[in-house]
Amino acid sequence: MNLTLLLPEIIVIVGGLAVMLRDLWLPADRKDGLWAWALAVPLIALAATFLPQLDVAARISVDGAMIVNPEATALSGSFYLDGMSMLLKRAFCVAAALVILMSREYLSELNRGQGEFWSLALFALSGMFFCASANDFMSLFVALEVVTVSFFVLVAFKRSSGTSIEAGLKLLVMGSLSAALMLYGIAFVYGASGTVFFDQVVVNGEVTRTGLRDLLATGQLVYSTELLIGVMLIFLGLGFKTSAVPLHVWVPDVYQGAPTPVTAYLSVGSKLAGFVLMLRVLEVFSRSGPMVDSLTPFLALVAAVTLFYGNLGALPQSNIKRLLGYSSIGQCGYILLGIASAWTVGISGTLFYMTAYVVTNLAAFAVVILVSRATNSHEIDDYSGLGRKNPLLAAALTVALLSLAGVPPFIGFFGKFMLIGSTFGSDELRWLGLVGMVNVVIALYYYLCVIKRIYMREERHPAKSVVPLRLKVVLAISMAALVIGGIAPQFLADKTAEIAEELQFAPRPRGGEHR
Amino acid sequence: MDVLTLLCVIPLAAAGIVAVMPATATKAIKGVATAASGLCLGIALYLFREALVGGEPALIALTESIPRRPWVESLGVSWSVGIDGMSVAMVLLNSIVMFTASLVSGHAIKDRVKEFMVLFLALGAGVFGVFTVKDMFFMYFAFELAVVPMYLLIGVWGSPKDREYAAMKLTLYLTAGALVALVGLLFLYFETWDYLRSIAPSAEAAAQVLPSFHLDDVFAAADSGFFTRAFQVKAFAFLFVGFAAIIPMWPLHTWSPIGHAAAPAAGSMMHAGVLMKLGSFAVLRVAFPACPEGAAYWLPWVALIAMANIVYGGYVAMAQKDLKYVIGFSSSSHMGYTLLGIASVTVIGVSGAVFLMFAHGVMTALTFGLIGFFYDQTHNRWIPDLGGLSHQVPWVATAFALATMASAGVPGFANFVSEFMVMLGAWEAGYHWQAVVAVFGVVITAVYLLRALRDVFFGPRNERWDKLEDAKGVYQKAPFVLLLAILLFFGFWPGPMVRVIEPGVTPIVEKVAKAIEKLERERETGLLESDDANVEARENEEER
Repeated sequence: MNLTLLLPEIIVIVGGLAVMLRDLWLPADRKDGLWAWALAVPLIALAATFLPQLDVAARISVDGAMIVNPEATALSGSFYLDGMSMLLKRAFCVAAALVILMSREYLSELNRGQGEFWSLALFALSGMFFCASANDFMSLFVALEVVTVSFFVLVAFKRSSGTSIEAGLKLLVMGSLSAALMLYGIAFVYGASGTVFFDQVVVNGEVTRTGLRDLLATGQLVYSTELLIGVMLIFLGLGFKTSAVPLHVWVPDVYQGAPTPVTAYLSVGSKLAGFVLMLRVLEVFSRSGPMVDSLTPFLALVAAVTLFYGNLGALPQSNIKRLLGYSSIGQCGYILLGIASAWTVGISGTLFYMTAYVVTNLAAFAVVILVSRATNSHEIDDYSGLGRKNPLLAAALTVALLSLAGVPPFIGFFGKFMLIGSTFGSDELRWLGLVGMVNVVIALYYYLCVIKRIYMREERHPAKSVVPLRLKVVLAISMAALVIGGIAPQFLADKTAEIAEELQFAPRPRGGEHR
Repeated sequence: MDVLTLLCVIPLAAAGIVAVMPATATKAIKGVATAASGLCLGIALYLFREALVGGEPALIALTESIPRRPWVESLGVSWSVGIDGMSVAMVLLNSIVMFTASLVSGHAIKDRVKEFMVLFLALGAGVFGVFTVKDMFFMYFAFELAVVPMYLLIGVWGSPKDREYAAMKLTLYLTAGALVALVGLLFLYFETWDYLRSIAPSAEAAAQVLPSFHLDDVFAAADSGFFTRAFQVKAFAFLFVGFAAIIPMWPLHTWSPIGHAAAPAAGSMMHAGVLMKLGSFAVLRVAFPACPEGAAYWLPWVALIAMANIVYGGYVAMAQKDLKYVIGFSSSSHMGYTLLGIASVTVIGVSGAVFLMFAHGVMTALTFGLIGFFYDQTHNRWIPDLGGLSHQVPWVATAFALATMASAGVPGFANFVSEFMVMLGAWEAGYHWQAVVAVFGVVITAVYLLRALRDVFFGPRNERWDKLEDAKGVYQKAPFVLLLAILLFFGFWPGPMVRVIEPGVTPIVEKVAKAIEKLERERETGLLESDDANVEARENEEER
């Protein structure tokens, strides 16, 4: 057993417990300082991900075939560390750190429960870490539930607010439904294949446990309807986390009702955890041509409906958190577009966009937190005149929204370009690219509607926002990432291309090989 | 750094400098913007001189001396710039318009100067990018980079009545147009990738071939005959419709007049002067050489729609009571001539079209600069409200009258020469009745422009406008004098401009002309019946 590989997870879990204990020992008037403890945890974990001990080749070549390197797995194969999980863990660390920096102001308004907030945020982080490394359906489920359950509490954290409680309840109900669907799907897969593990375990040259990857690679497991239904149900369940249609209905309400820092965390952390699992499951089944052939139209359909639902739904919104909620459904559609294309560039674009989405969305939410603190409102109309009142905040929100809309020279542009471009390689998915393009125009409209209010309307609310240092740091980091990532995307894009290659997705668009 | 990259970097760097300057230092900010535009103008003049003295070989040598700089290698994106005679003319146009617009906004913009200049410079950099890059990804990138600043320029500094609607409409139209064109670009990209794989020496090497967004690779694939006619017909349709929305071609033109009308003076100057040229430039730069057979297939229709632009645009302009709308619709009417020249596929017609893009850009920048000049004082563009302004602003009235002459195609201005070339080209290509309609289109232009001139500037003195101030001093007059001088210079001496443009468009024209010949030959011999596109079309009809 290779516990070193689990070092970041161990750090986060121990850190979460330490914060919880520290909270007990601190007198009530000094609990404000706890955020620094909480912040240290993701930063240390981030540093730990760069340790050379964790840099293990994810795949090795055996008899000409690339297989999973046992050295890169732990917990008897349930835990797998490859390029994708590493990238996502770093993204999760950044997300958690930025969210913790944003939460401090909000939390000081609560008179109790600070310690719990920080440790729950950290436990959610550990869940996300395990999602990124899950290598069988059981750890996938448990990791995902760790994230979901932490968020049930976090979303309902503002006990005095009815909407917050309601949001928590909605998340709970929908979350349980999706968990049930997913378990049902896992049962189907188990029934069809006889295993829930992705990888086989070999002890002394003997296979002690069969894995899906190997069964599919050797042709022992072939396409069957039960298997397909199972995988589809799993994708539906994961779709709840990523806010994909049809399990997206909770998103606008929960985004609106939850405390804003939690909404921010939910919109990036929980979402990406769902996506990374989608990629992992797709990767496992991508070894079977017929499976991919039947999954792709399904995912494409989900992507198209999600795109239209999110972007059309955002049009009439007057509340910025609801708007960002619908927009996050739309953004989920774009990422699904790359997943559905299931070839290197599409997957690379997916990973690029996921990473870009973290900084972009968090920047938008940081501004929302600051503005609403001054105006006590989330109405978009109250952003009128922000351009004169708080020019820097206005610029930050504008840049974040433009990046979400996919406008150069910001990071979102390149991601969207890759995602949409990747669908044009295959004859079957070209229509999906066109759907994506139509939605770019629709989305541009509502993002511009916010920008319009910021710069072209007279101010309605005279209160100026005071920007504390912590949020300045958040904004500075995210703005730098947005602009540098937009002007010089090659660093991230080359990395994601490498990862996509390592995941062994098709090097060419499907349907493009025959030429 | 090479001279062409500098063209894009200078405005961006200036935008960066302005962004960190204190907002109160408006004079310094304007100075930086003007200096950056002036530098670009200097580079453009240098390039023009190179093109004039060294001819096309000098430009080819310059282009070849600039290496491709890989940007995202796995996707085949590279920063690569290059120019031909056509781009030199457009680069010159953009730098002239930018320079004069920055002078004009120097006194016209008083509110949020810093933000204005940042966006203005970003817009200029985007336009330079479209005119110089040789990579399809960056072409799209640069275009989008130009569109969004325009949204804010119109929306924030535009005329209060309709700016929000106009800005939104313009941005959505241009983005949608660019996306439709992007479909075509992506078709070319994937097809080129297949071509690059097909020429690889072995199967293993083919698997390793990286895709490419570079236009040279696309053209190599096109020249080798790798693109089938069916593919070209399809790709050209997407490229052309996308770019046509930017030109703007009827019936996709409605964003343009309202965009002109609502924009602040410098915004209108950039919009009508250069943004409207991006579409026709991209058609010539990408769509023609990449899909000559597609062009051959569609161009008769383009010539037809050009008529709609000229006549319909002209008639709509006649009905306008708002001065900026008159000029706005007149612009889309003039773009009809450009389209006709492009559709003619003769060296003289296409050169004329490019020359007209240049001349119209300068002329319309002058017109909007002047309108902006008195609109900033009157806050009224409604023609019946104005009248007799020549009493109060004689200098502006004179300049405006000259601009009107230029627009109406009076000999002595560059516009006359270029429109004449377009008509010659159309006639030569066999578009006889289209040429006749185009000639009468000039009459329509004269009607609404002279009428507008009369109603705004002539007639009895209107005391309501007694407080209007005329252009005073070198600083205020300089941009207008410069623009007029350019129009007159190239009107009396069009040789240099034609000599620069012609070698640039000749290879493009030759390619498409060859494709047209092939198409006609096949139509005569009936070979086309077996063509994929026709077979597909027949099958589709049968299915219905």
